[in-house]
Amino acid sequence: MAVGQCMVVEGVQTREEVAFDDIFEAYQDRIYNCIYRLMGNSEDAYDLTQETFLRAYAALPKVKGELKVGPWLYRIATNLCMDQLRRRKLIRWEPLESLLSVFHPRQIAKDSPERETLRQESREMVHRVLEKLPPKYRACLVLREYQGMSCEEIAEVLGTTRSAVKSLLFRAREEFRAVHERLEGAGSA
Amino acid sequence: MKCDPRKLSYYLDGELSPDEIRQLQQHLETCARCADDLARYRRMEHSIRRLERHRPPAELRHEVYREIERGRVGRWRRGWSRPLLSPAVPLTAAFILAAGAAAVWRLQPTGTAPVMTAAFAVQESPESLEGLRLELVFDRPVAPDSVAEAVRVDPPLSFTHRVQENKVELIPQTAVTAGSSYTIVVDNVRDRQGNVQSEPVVLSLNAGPIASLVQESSPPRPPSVPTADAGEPKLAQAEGARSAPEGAVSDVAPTQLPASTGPAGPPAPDGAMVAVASPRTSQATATVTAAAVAAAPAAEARSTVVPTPSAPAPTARPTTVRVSPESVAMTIPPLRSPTPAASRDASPDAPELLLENPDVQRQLGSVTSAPRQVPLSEQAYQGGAMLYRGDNNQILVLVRSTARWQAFPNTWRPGEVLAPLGNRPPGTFEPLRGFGKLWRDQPAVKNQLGWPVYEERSALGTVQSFQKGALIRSTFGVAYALFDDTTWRALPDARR
Repeated sequence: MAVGQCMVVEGVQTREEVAFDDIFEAYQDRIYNCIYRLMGNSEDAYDLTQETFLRAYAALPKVKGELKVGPWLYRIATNLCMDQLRRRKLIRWEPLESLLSVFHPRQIAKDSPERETLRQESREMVHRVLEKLPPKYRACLVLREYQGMSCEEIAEVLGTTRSAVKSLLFRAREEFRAVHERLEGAGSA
Repeated sequence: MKCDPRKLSYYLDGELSPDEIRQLQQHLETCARCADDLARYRRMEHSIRRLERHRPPAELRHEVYREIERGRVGRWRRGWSRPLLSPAVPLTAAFILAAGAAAVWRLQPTGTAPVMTAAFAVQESPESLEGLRLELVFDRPVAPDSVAEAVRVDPPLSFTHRVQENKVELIPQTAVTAGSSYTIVVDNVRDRQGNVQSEPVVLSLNAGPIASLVQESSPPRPPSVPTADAGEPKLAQAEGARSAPEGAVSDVAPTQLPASTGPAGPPAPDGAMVAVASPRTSQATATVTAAAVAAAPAAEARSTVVPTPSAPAPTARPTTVRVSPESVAMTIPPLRSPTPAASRDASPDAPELLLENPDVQRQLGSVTSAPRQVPLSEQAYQGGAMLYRGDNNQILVLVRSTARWQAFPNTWRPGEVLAPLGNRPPGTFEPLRGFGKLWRDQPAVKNQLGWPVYEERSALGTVQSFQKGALIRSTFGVAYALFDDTTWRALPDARR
């Protein structure tokens, strides 16, 4: 089932026909998870993954020459997420109770039976910290740490330069740390 | 080296030179603060990496394909070159066509005249006539060199034609103006055995804003064969089809088509088309609304083709059909003509589809269960079709030449990579996933089915059990009757 476009699939250097169906099959999990982490919930992940693939399907016939499918799909997905996040401004009110339920790591002994609970709580904390980051910081951290992309690949996805991504990642890490400490402080208060 | 948190970040990203790395590592040995910061970055990295990964819901795939099928993105699909797979002829049409052509093809003895079984106006976008083309489908492969002489257009319009087995594509070489109309007469098309189309088919092309192609005279019904087991003739035909040159596009030629002299049906005063039907035919006329038409105003979408009985006069008599401007009409000869007696035999719970196909109804027996929705994938092959039932994880192989079906367990698992295939014949597709695995693992299946001629499509379909078989209805316009004696029939199911 060929789309009829010549492309270079991520990491493959030979020209070949790539099927939309193959692309969908290969990338639906990665794109869904990336969007899930960027948007923070499964409803948005579902809707925007669908939109990503529909846009890709629509755009494929217009693609001229070679195309790196992976970065291209991530670019569509992250742009969609950024637009959504900007539109919503993502100002969420966090009830204090939800923060109070988070254990502070220092409250838990290393071999405590509550460690598993802590892991879960810690995942939720990370999730909340990510949600509080500006969209661009969140996007580059998710692409780097969660999707394992290099600075060069992230630059391709975000449409910027490699050195800009380096700086962006540094600022994002600093912001992550600051938000994390803030939330931890609120949790242990 | 001074403390520089940026360097720590760059270090983690692999963005430092070997010299810088060495300097940083020396610094970290003496600077507890930077070592602490680096550890904190690493913890953050680890915590993000450990976040759980989710499986996208199974409906996501269906939803994406449903949206594509609805033509939600149809207007952007310019440049897709697969005949019958372009947006304006969605799978509904493609599969009806495949099934219709397959059924007729199977029953068609050699030595008879080729019959045109369907015609489409294909539009890449509902907003533009750019890329408009016509597709004519015959019940067997046709001789490419017979096409140029066989098609006449009035007023004259320059076309390129392309022949792909039993499909003829006519591509206008000049822009077709919105609002214009043409009469197209298709006559004397030859099959590869030299049999010549015996009756002209007259088509009326109304260009836009949404193009429609109306058949104004019905093609003659293929000779009726009493049973599906048509024996030698059927086999000979199937062999003939297989022995055709591999591939598909066998001819591309620019053609200045002469003006038609055929009888054009005048438009009725209210905009309805008047069709001239052969008295010898009793063909079912189905309307397939193009996917791209989904964007058309709802008010325009209400019209459907309303077939009326053709008069039993010895000469051609008009049959009136009403065609919505945005629909594409196609005609598929029914596998059997319904008879009132047969209709009475049908169980009251039988789907309406079977009332129109009483022989299938009789062969299936009475209904034993209500239709159940099941995930269904289907793919048409050169020699039949494969169906996947998501409810029992079975793949059904339907072979046209033997009219037999067989069930296989699906052994493919998501993520499993299949062996790459060598060169495939032009116009065919690579079988993927479960179909692909079965096709590769079972040489008999591969030999009987040949290569896929359409993409695999998935959607929710229904399965209904009967005393002596089951009826599987896809959302792509085909119903498959699978009988317990391992024979099968495909029925056009245009209402779905």
